[in-house]
Amino acid sequence: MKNSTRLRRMTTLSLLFALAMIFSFVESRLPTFIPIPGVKLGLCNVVIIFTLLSLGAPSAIAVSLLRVLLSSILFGNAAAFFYSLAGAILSLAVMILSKHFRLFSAVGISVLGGVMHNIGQLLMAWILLGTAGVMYYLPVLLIAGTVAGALIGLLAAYLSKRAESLKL
Amino acid sequence: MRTRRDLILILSLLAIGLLLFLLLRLTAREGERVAVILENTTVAEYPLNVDGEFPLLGGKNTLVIENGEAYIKDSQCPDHTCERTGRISKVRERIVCLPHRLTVKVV
Repeated sequence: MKNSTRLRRMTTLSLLFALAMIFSFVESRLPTFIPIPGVKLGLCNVVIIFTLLSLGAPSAIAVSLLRVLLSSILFGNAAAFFYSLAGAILSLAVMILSKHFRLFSAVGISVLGGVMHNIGQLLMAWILLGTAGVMYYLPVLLIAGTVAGALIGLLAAYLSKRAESLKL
Repeated sequence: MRTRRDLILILSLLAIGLLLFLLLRLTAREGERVAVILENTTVAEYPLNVDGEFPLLGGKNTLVIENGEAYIKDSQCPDHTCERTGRISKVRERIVCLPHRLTVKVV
């Protein structure tokens, strides 16, 4: 890769990472609509999906995992780190696969990402709390993840389209 | 084509979620007591027909039982999700405080 291309890529990734951190911060300050642990809008996923669509899987993995690490240190606690990590890994894996097999558009990818994030967190809660009883929340988290994922997906699709001319 | 698959995905996920939700709701019956579970061990149980206020975890959360319903009043956790969960009275309903690894569950 030419030096200028590498520099450009590094700058873009840094900007996207900074954006993901800002969204994390905003989200940590927003009250949740439904008082159930794990229900949230998932604003950061706009950045992750955008990165996945325009720069590819390795970049999306880097931005997502770095964000989980740094936002847990800055805005969360140790428990938050494990929940976010489980959600992020499962969500990334499924989003990358569904993009790879071209099954869904950005909206579908995002819906799967949202739902899988919630399922990853539930599985982590199962491990940490040691009880399968956390699955009680599965129905609500499925619905919340789908709705939030669809909204986030629409936003990410719109942004990716607008950013095509940037030639990232 | 992909838009259509998106729609099918969204509708089926919503349908599954709704179905499971209704299943849980319709099979729920009124509970007799609440169990306080720390990590995965039950540390205390309180009958729902005796009103009272009970400090949990040395006062980090306060459990209130009132008119056969249980709720958390004060929690010294960062998110206060447990307080906003509200009142529970039916079997399997629960209040979870993730920061304190605490669950209050109707049994």
